[in-house]
Amino acid sequence: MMLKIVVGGQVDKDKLAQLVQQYGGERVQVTVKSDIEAAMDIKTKKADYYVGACLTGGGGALAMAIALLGLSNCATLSMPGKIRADQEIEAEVKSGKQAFGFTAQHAEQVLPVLMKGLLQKEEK
Amino acid sequence: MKLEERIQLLRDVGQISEDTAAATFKLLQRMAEKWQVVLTEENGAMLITHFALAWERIGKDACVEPLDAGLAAEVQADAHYPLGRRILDDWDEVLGVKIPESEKLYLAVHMCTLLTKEGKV
Repeated sequence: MMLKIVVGGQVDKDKLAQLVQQYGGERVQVTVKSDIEAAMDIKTKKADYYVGACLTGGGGALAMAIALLGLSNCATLSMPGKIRADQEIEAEVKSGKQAFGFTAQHAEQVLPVLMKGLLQKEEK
Repeated sequence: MKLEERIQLLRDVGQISEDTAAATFKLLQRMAEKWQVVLTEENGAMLITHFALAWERIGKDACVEPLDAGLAAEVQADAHYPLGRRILDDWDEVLGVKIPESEKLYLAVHMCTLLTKEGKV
């Protein structure tokens, strides 16, 4: 089953989309939208998951996702100086979160773990 | 969505307080009147969203970790930084509170992006 990922957030959207596609491969379809449009895609079930980056990890990356989807549906995976452990990221995926935010500089560390978790979840 | 609606949405869902929303609207007005930059959803969403959330942090005495050193150096070397910095220092006057330096550098990144789009140096 194709996993639909929408890139929202504030910065580095094309880079995030490239990494999502790289780590998701053929099982992932990725689109890039504004943070609001991306959050709406989740809300209206046009996409399965939202990823977004900003400079602080949880601010601009998730502000509109939180506004439209609720805080309980969103997870900050990194902030300046701190990247959450792999197990914590996996736990956020397993708990049912649909929107994930992180600091732009941490994209290459966060996305492999996140994508692995999302794909494994969808296999079950 | 208009930029004003973005701010209202953040306020309505409790992401930002009424005071923060008011401060943000003040800055929209200042940018247009003093700096001749009309902020819109297209050119100002990143800057204004970041500011609104930063202002919430500042109001709660919450700190943000310093901006990545490489990115800080990059933004300070940007041709738009001197003007961006003058604008951000002006925001201190509008707000009546000095924005912490750590937050200003983050704002400077978005400000330089805005000024680049607007062609202002």
